[in-house]
Amino acid sequence: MKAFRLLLALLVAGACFTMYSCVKKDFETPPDMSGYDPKLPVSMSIAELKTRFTGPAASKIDSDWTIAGTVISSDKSGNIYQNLYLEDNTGGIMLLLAPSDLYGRYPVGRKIYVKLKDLYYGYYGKFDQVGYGSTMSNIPADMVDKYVVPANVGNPVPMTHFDGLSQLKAVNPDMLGRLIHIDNVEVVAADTGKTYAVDPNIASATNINLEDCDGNKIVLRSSGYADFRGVKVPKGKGSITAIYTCYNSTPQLYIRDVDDIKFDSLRCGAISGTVLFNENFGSAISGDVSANGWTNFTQAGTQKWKHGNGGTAANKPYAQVTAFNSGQPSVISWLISPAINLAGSSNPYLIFKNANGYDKGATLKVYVSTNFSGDPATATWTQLNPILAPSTTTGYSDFVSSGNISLAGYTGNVYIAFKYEGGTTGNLTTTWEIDDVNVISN
Amino acid sequence: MLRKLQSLLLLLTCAVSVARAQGEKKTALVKGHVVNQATQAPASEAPVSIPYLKMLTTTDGDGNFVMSQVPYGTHDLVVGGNSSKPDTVRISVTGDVVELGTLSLVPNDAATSQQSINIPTIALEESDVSGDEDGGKTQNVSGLLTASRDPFLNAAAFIFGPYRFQPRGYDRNSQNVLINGAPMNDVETGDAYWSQWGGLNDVFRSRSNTYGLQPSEYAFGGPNGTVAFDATAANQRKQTRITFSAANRNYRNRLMVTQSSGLMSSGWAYSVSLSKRWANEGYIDGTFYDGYSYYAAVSKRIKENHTVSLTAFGAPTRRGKSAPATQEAYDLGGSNFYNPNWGYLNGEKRNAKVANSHQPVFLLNYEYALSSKTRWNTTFGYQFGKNANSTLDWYNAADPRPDYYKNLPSYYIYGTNPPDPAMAEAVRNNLISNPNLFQVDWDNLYQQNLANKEEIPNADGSGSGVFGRRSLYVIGNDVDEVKKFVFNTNLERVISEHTTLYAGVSAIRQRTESYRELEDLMGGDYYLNLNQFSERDNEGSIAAAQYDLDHPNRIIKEGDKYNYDYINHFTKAWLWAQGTFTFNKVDLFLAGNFGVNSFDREGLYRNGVFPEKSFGKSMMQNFTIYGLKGGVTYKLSGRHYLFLNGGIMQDAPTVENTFVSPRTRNTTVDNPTEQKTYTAEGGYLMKAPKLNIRVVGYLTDIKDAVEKKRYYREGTANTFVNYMMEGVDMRFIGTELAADVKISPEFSVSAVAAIGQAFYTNNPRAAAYGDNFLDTNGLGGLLLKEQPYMKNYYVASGPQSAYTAGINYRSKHYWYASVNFNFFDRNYVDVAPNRRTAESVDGKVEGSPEWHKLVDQEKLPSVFTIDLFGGKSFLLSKFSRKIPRNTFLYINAGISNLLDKKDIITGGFEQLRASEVGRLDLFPTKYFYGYGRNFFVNVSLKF
Repeated sequence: MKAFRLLLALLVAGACFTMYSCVKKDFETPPDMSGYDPKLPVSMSIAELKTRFTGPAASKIDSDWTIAGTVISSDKSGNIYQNLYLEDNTGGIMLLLAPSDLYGRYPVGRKIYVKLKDLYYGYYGKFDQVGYGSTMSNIPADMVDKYVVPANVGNPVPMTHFDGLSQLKAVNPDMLGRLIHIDNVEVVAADTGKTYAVDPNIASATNINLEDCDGNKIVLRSSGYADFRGVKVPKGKGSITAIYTCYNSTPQLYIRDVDDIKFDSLRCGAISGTVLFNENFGSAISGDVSANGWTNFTQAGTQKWKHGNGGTAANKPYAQVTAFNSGQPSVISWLISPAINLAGSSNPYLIFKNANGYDKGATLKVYVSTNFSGDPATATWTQLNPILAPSTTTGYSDFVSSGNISLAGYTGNVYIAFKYEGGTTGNLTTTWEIDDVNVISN
Repeated sequence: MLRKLQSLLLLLTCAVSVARAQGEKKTALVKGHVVNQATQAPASEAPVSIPYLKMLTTTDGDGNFVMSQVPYGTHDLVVGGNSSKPDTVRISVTGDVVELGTLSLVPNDAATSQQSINIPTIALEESDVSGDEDGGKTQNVSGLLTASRDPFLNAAAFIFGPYRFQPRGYDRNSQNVLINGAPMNDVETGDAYWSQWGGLNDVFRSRSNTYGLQPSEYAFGGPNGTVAFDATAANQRKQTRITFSAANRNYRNRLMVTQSSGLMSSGWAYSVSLSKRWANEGYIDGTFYDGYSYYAAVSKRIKENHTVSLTAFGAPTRRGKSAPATQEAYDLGGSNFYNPNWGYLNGEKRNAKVANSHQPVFLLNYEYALSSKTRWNTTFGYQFGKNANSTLDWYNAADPRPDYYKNLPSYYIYGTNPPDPAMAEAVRNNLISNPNLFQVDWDNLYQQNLANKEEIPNADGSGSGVFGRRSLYVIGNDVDEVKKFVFNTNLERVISEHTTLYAGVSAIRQRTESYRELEDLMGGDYYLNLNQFSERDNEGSIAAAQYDLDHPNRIIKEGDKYNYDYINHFTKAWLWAQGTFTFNKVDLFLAGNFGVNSFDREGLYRNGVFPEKSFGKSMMQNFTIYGLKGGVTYKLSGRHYLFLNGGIMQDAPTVENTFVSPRTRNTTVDNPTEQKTYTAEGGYLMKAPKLNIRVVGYLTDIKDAVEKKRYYREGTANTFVNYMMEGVDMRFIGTELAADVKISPEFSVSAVAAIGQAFYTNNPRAAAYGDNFLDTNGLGGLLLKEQPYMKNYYVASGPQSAYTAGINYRSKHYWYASVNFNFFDRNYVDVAPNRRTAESVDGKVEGSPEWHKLVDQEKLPSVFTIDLFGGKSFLLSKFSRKIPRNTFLYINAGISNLLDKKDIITGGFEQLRASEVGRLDLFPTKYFYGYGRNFFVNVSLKF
């Protein structure tokens, strides 16, 4: 009897613990879909999509269109928020999506398909975008999967390369919504002390001006909610990878994170080496240039080189000369530096900034001499070959750097001369401006 | 059975008065006569025992029994057991012969009271350790209420309990729980976790309950009394019992097997019990249940007066949890049982929030009867193990909770400027037509992890990088790992026929390590020990983001600790003493305790936000605990009693209420101080043959309590905030009414009402401590101090008015049925204190609709429900001679909420997040719902 009880109890107890694998415990990791491309049929390229709409009002997309592209944006840093940019090899477009931290599901390099039917195509500040509803809202989180289909990750990220900003400083429609890489840009001097963005309680976003060495400028716009907003912008020159957008006629760059900016070379016109001579023409804004041993010599006419600070956008005083309003048929004006001693120097070079305004054909030439003694006519001059500002017939050009003009081979004292030739004959009345004349020894 | 009790008391009173003159004797002879209740025939071979004394006898053929050498004092005598429903009566032995008179027995019917039906399904289920981070407690009923013979307590436990009724509005730590004399209340929180012995109903049947301030034989007791289990092997009745249960509550199936030897002639006793409870899905979607329980005990009686017992038990249990939600989420989810915690993974439901606990207990007992008048009981206990609660954790990734407020339609009405009703409607329609979108999107979370290949420079602070899939989403476990030693010794001595004295010493040493453990990388290769919230709030500060500055950028794999890691060391020790004094017309008692409760915090991580305050030991927090209580019962006659009890008590605050954020730092509240309780109760009891009445009133004031609320604060500071209210005063006042009328031998009706008020009586001071801002001012993250106006708000303590009326039928043919009609009212949501400040109401016109919306306390709808219970027992040996004698089959069943009401709100709490910016509609109140129609069926075989 006792044995029977025990046996039965054990039997039931055994059954109790074995008869069901009742409750599941562990879950397997689902298959990794990051290499899977559903290969949905694509209706058109992004560039083509952009041609279907003209705006300015938002339009409902009634057709069963699908586009495909590679994700080029990341909201990881918070600089881009609720926006997803994709690009194919024809163009880029921005999607408005409600979720935060889109980078998790749509990392840079992931191919995605966008099923456009029932979404809206619209514009903000003339910038194309795809969103939800006629109000161009963000696609709500729970609806995103209806429209955006992720495919494989790790695709090469399309990127267009530029050197300088000349093709970008005015809105470049082909580049809108695309990822671009620009070499040789830097933060303008006035902004170099700033952080990327101010506190979001002051402004939701902050503009930092970038320029290339030709003085072309573009806006870098960063969000107050970016996690790098308190980081100071770099002072050097270099390359930037950014998404190219616009607000009306103003192009704007958005970086994904601070490592999109690699400004680690010297700034435009920056000096590396020993400064043998430096002239920035002081702070005077009028009157003839005469100080610091400069020779201000008129070979023809009476138009001296003068101090000035008008004309170009930069307000810093400089030296200028013009035949405009002189009434003099021939104006030949020299501005000749004091003696610059190159003894012991190594590969010395000249670098300066120049600009012109209302160009009518007057010329600026630059020379070097070793035997100038007060009269340019009695000295021997060798002409140098600086980069000059592009001819600007209406208004004034930006200052551009002359580039490094080698003075190698010269030893001892040299003199640098800036020679203006114009006059009312032939109406050669261009204004030329120079500044920041430096002679450097490596 | 009440009738029995009252007749017994009547007899006892007589016995006492007879015995009085006879002076002191060591022991007494206790005599009685047992009859079958239904037939009134003498009941032969019925066991009669006094479990506490390990005394057992059986009735003779005429139903008579004699128990000799029963020491003087008050004892619980159990009549019946093996083949009948055990019935406990309290006897007072004060003379050398105690004649108990006729006791009746409900034969062959061992499981037909509500008590024995319901213990398996309600009283021993999980009680959630604490709320989720969003402040809620889960559906599970607290174990506070236990079965009792008192009709009021029975109703409170089984009828009111599932609707979050809290007796007198007290917190769950107000009742002391002892097992074999060892205090089981957690030293950290004061709560007793009944789930630690869940599923072991067969062997935890024997218990002694006191309610309110009544004296217990085992301990001083809490403001709401004491439950003392005797789970030694010697106390288990000889039986083998196999039970299968089906239900549709948090589990669906249960199997229990128990074998007990009873105390054998060799002096040995053993008892073993095993059980399994399981459900692939409980009543609420996505809640699975996977619980095992084990129990093994031996006792050895040596020379009649020494008993040594060893008892071990544990209940490893895993279960999926549900979560409270806003009404909008419930409506979108399609029912009031919507559960945002789960989602489909590989086609199966996976719950993100899983409770997993296993904390086995070992108890060594030594009971020694020094003499017939003196008993000494000593217990050593050891408990260890983990209690873990899992949660989704994420780093710089979108909030994965499906009911996140930005995913809801209301966000487009109240969260955007301007409101966009068309969008709200579109979101609503989309969610309703795609219900899976409103659950956890596991596949998406996994795919994000799988695709997120990243190189971590300077991983582990080593200078070298790690490349791989960095998980954006993981499952983390909040683990409490306990090692606890308990010592308890109690001495009971009968001084005279009037006086019994009790004294005891208890001590607890506990070490609890609390940490987060990475359970599942969800497809990724590693996770980093970084704090995304402080990274966001302190931009540019690499150090602030480190959870552990001493191990920066640590790579976390599955099984590793991360986020926080600290130890609390506790030492709690106290003495207690009690005297009970019994006279002809008056009973008196006086009890007191005194002790210390000390604890500290030892941080194991140097948190980047609080580098100076997080690592190493805090100051030792020392608190004095004491209590004093006493009472008098005046016996107008054997049927009418008046009683009045009072007490004052002082208790230490909990760790959570002392340290503002123990997970991160040693910073304490301004003035850690003991909580004081002043309480009184009194009433009238009538115990007549056909009428039982209970009328009780109580008044309890609590002073200097601390309340903590944790929430995400928006505005000038976005951070998790610990909102500490200090010096909180509360009052609990009310009345408890019960009446039980016997209409015929078969029919009885009962009515019970509990009507109380639990409310705040002052305006406590409050301070908000942020968790994510660099501690630049040295104040431990203090963000602000403010004055919430809490006075006269109700304390959220379940329905403060609860009523039930029942009709019971008990057949002579071993079956019974009952129906109860219940009504619950005056249940109030938990208010957000930061909504009741001068700043918050600034600019609102007092009495205006928006002012009311801000400050009014919501009263939840009243509820009417019907419950049914029934059962029958069979003596199987009647049907076949081959079946062993005394083989019984019991069947019990119950249906709660027969009307299948699915809109019963049992509780709710205001989200504190709303108050900061006045966005009440964006962060509305979250609610808990009670089950719709639910049932249980037990089939039990005993032989």
